[in-house]
Amino acid sequence: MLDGALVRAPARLRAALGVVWLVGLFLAARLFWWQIVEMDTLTTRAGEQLKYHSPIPARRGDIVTADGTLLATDVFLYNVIATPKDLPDPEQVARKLAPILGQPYDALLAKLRAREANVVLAQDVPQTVSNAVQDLKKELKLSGGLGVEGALRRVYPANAFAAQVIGFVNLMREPAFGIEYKFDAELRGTEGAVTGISNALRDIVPSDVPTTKPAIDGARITLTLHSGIQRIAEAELASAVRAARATGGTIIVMEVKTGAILAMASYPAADLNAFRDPANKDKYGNPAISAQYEPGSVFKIITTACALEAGTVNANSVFDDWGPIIIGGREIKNHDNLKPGRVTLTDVLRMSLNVEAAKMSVGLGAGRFYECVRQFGFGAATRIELAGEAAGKVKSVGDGEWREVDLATNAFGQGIAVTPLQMITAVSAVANQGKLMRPYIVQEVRPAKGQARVTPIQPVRAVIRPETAQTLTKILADAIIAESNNKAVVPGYRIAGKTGTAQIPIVGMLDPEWTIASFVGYLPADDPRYAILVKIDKPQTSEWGSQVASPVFASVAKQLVSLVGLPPDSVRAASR
Amino acid sequence: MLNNPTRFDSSISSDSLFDLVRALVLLGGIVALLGLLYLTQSSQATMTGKRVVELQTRLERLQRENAQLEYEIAVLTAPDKMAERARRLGLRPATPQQMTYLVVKEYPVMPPQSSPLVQNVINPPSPAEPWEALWNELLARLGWRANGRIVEASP
Repeated sequence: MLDGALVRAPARLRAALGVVWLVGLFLAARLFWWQIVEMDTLTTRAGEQLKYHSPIPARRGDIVTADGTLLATDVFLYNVIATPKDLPDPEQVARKLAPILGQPYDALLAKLRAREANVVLAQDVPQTVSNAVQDLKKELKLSGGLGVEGALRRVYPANAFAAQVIGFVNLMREPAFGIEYKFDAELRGTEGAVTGISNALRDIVPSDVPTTKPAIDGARITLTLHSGIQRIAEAELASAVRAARATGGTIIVMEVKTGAILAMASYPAADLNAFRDPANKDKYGNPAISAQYEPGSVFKIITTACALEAGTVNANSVFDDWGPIIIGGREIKNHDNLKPGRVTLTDVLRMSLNVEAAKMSVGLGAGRFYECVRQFGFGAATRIELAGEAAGKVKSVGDGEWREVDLATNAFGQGIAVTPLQMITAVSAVANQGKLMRPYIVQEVRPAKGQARVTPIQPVRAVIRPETAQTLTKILADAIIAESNNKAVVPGYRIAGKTGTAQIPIVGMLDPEWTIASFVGYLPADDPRYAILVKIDKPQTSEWGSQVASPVFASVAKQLVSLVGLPPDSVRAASR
Repeated sequence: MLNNPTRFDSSISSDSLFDLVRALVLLGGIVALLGLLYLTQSSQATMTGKRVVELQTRLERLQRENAQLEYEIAVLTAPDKMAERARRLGLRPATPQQMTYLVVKEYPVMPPQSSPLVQNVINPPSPAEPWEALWNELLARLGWRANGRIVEASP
């Protein structure tokens, strides 16, 4: 019986064994399900729960001048935040925190006793203050209740300096205007990250070597602007606009042989750090490239260049100017209704005779005149590396807007719209032996990794022959010398240039009250290096470019030659 | 002896037992050693990981402080501030009339520069590749290479 019991278990035991087998099978099946079938899903979920991912923000690239002045950079700024209910001893915290934040004890204590869940104790404090707060937290053994939150912030150390060229980046890190907008992709950089295993508080657990993908900072952009020349331009412009009680103005300094912009200043300008101030809303656009205006008599340089190049006039030409003429049914007259009689080409430019300029364009004919004007770059954007450039406007025969009188008025800069940059670029072509250069303001884009990209000097085309350019330069320089009280004169240096006093078109007519006074010139006339454009909008002390803009040109030029160490003509002649 | 299979040969069985125990002790020792090695390596990795995190945090903090200092320097040396400070010190821009140029006969003439102002850009050195930086750091730690810190000599 005993042997039989050993051989055959009772039915209950067998049933129990069966249940154990079934449970075992069920567990094995579930195990197979979770371990094999659901393996990927569960691994991913577990990974997500344990994953530590902390982004490393990329610093936006710096913007600097050619001589290394920092104009735009990124810094970490912090907000100090308290959670009052988690602070065991607000008095002690306030006492220790007050000198760190530079705030009165009572004010700080009031904030720490506030009923709000979270209180901002200080905004935009630097790293040093943040470090001090962190140290205090450790000293007081606070696990919560006090903390700092940091974020990268774009800052502009020179405030309004070259503001319209730089543009700004708002709190959402979105760029607006200037280099910031145009080169956003290069400046932005690539975010990095630290990955590893996190604990329940989402802090990294040092269980293994964490994986770090470093952030790649944005490219550093070096401008062609020279901080000394830019400062001269800005200071002189602000002073001139205030003195003339004008509404604004622009000064551009260009290196004629390369097209490099050494200064680009417009007034009024605003602090780039104060972009949130509604009063500054309209001050960040760059009028030097976007403001289209009728250049007035400055444009006679272009008309004369075209006529000289075509051979319809030459340096020895003599003109009979007996006052008003009728072209296209409209009367064309000189300023102050001058009737100078027999004049030379130098006299035409010295006296700024509209009638003779009109005769020159008519002598060329519309086809040749407008072709030449477009060759100088008018009517098309210069493609400078700045956002918001305007193309200006040059009418064409048959475009529906052009009338016969336009051929005459365009010759002395009326009825044609240009930007200050187009104007100085065209005049620089005359200074540069007739070769038009593409203006540029970015010298170099240097990425954090990889090769720097240097902007090449780009000749656009030869607009006039070198002989024509030299002839015109001589005529322009002679015209300035011939005028005994010319306020553009720079002692020791022969300069070439021309004033402009342009009326401002308003709906259906020209504004009878306001003008735009300007001067465009270059020096030294025997070997031109620098071109300077001065434009003053709606001056009240005098309407004339010769009174308002010429002295500013002279002042900028005097400081420029001193700054760059350009010897006077006599010294350069002696050293040849 | 053959008639009683349950009885042991005490001399043989005690040797075998000793060998077995010895083998087990040895095996246990090896396992313990391997475990110790594993634990040491694991704790080393953890410590290194912790150190890396600390160093990264410190590096980040220093970089932020450096950026802050660069910004503060830039604020203090902004052109308008420099000009204002120069004015307060009694300095004035020189006018062309105040400048004297000397003509040196037969002085070798420099070739004209196309862009004298804008070519004076001092380019910062290109950052080293990560593996290169790591290699240099390793050499520096081993004392086979001076580390990258530059100490300026006192005047």
